[in-house]
Amino acid sequence: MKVTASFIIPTHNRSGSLKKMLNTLQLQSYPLQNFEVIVVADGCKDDTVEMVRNYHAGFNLLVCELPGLGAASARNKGASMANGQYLLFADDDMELSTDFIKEHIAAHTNERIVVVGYSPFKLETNASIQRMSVREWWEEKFHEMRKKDHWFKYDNLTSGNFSVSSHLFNKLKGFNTSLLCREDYELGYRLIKHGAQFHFAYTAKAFHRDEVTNLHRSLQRKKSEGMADIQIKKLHSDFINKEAIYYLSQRSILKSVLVKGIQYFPSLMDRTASFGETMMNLFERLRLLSSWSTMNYRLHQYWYLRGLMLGAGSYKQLYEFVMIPNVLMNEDRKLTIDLEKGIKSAEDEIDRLKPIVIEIYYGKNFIGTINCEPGMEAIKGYHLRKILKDKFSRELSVLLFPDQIFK
Amino acid sequence: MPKAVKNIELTNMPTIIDDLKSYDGAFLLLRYHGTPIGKIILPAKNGKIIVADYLQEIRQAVKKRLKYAAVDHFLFSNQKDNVQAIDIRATIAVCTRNRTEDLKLCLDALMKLPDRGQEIIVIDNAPSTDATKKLIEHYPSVRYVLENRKGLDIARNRALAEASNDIVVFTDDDAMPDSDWLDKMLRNFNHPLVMCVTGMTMPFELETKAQEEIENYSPFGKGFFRKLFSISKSNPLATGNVGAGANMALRKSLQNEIGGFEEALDAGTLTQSGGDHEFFARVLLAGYHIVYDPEAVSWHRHRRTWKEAVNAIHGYGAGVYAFWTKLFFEEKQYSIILFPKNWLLHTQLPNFYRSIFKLKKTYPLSFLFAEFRGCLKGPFVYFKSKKQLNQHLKKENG
Repeated sequence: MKVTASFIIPTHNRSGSLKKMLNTLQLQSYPLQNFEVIVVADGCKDDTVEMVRNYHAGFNLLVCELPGLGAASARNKGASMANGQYLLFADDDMELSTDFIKEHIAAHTNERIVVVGYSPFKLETNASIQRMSVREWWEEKFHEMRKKDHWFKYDNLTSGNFSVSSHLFNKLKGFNTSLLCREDYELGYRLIKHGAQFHFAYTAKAFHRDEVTNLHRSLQRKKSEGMADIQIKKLHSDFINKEAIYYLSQRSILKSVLVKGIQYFPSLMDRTASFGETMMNLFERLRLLSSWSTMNYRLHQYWYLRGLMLGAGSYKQLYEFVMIPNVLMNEDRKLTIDLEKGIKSAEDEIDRLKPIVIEIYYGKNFIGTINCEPGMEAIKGYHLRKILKDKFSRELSVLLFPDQIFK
Repeated sequence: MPKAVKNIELTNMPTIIDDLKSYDGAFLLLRYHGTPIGKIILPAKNGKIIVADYLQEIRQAVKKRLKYAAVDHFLFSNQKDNVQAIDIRATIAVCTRNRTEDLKLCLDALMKLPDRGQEIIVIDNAPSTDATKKLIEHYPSVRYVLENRKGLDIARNRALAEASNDIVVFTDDDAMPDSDWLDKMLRNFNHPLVMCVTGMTMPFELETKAQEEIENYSPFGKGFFRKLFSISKSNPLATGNVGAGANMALRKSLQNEIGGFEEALDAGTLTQSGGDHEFFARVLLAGYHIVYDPEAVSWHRHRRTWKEAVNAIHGYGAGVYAFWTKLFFEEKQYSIILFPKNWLLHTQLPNFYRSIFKLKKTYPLSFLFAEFRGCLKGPFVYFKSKKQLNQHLKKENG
């Protein structure tokens, strides 16, 4: 029997939740003989390997051990053992819907498709505000992807729930194992550059039972993300990091203080930041929510900046790294559209010419420019309306105001 | 000085509004391609309004919202909602008590809703006669449920328990929803964290001074822009602007997650109101979203007599302080202690000041005093009402 799907689970000392997950794999509506499950036990000190070896599965179950090389290596290792035509990646703490594999496989209508599934964050009762805002962040991200006119971007790849043809994955040599984190974004970046077509499958649903995310981890992760973003920038010089650009282009006294502080007194700054963390816990207990939110934002900003500067070496280098604009002037692939001629014709033009830069006019009035940056899917006509609404509502509202009504 | 209430479509604006014989003006809900974008009150002369005379006033009233309505119309007029639709069904619940005449208008409006597989239930709350039951017999698609324990929040909880669909949409028995009301409500539940949606409530009639002053002092409509409330965007305890129970929808599953409505609050108890706002606060505190969608329009018939109006305002003050009391003592939301001060300093005292010295934007002093008296009583009536509820429950359980 030919195996269609290889289900790859990297795991680290979570034998209990892994077992629950294997149980839900038994219940899949997809024929059990058509998929295999590969557990990569990465630096496990508990009974994970033994549990998997003794597990009586209706599907082919493989297990291998790594000495703790991180999730990216573990996923690559799993992929190297896979026999299936498609690779499905999931975390070890997920509660799969019965149609999970079926929905993933059904969405692969061609070789270039990358399927991102829906993983709602499962929250306990009396959760902390921080965990509530994590859930909010995830749901917002998925909700955007669910829109039919969503313009996919590299950061839409979530390593905990996606599938890709093994051919495509191997061609790109899988995850980059040198990154501190955000290896999913980096893979997403290369996939899109390689012409992959992202697809969000709302029905490929798996609850994410993440029980470990808390404020401290979230802040530490922010620092790693800053460092990883510099690593990614070193790998891909055309990478545009919107988050970093946003923070660095702010002109506030606070930002200058942060930058100078990190440069000259990093340990003092870190101590101040952990004091801020203590304050946040106090704010939460006193239910001073707006103070909590402000501090939350500031501290994440601090740790991200801290990570960026650690990665780049100094603020000056960081600034050059992040802010030097990439020139996207590709005159042959530039399209000028006039919205006054109707939005439908503009959409058709985009589909016909597949532009990289779009200049938008309404009659003689210039509205703005859409750049198809690296890491974003090629623009299609159906993306246009949402982009106009999200980015150019203000400009359009001036021109479209129906003043004739009041005359 | 009654005002007529009318819908005006800006793309098809009448030159004269002339059927205003017994009115001295008109309250106009202004729409652009159907979307409500503003409201205005215009004076009538000799029973008519010449619209051309007020174009600039109308423009001023809709300007902010119209800008974006025009963009939306340009971009999406031939497109439906862009999120993959999910099949979701609603139970419409009307909680009523001894108000058969109003209820009839409400049910007639509900009968005009397009069929989306909805179920309609009427919770008859401790009625003194069987008039409501008899009325329902004329509506075969409506299910009648008798709830003998008096109290709006008790009736609401009963509705949640009785509903067979995932979404429960509440309308007051003295409100008449537009025909696209249900669709506009339900579309917001596409987002999994949206647990509750409120619509915009407009006055059904402004026939008496009491109705006009109520609409002026405490309008049910909360503006023409869609708003999203969540713990990360706004203070979850400040639910005054979220909307109201007269026009709201929620997921039935909430009852298991955060509990139902607080039965010691709202109409039929000493606290007179506040049950909806207290519930909203708990929804937000649990990390869920509430959407205010002004396109879900319902028309509320305000109380007609001055006495009823003053009593409603008094109840509003009592309800607010009662639900704050509950949040403080039972939900341990201690920061609520700042709210009374802010309300007093930034709203109530300035209102008194302006109204006493007859500066611009004045309100009837009897309203202001009634509300203030209500506020003072709020905490006490909450505890008293809670006690009564517990006694009642004890009696029932033997």
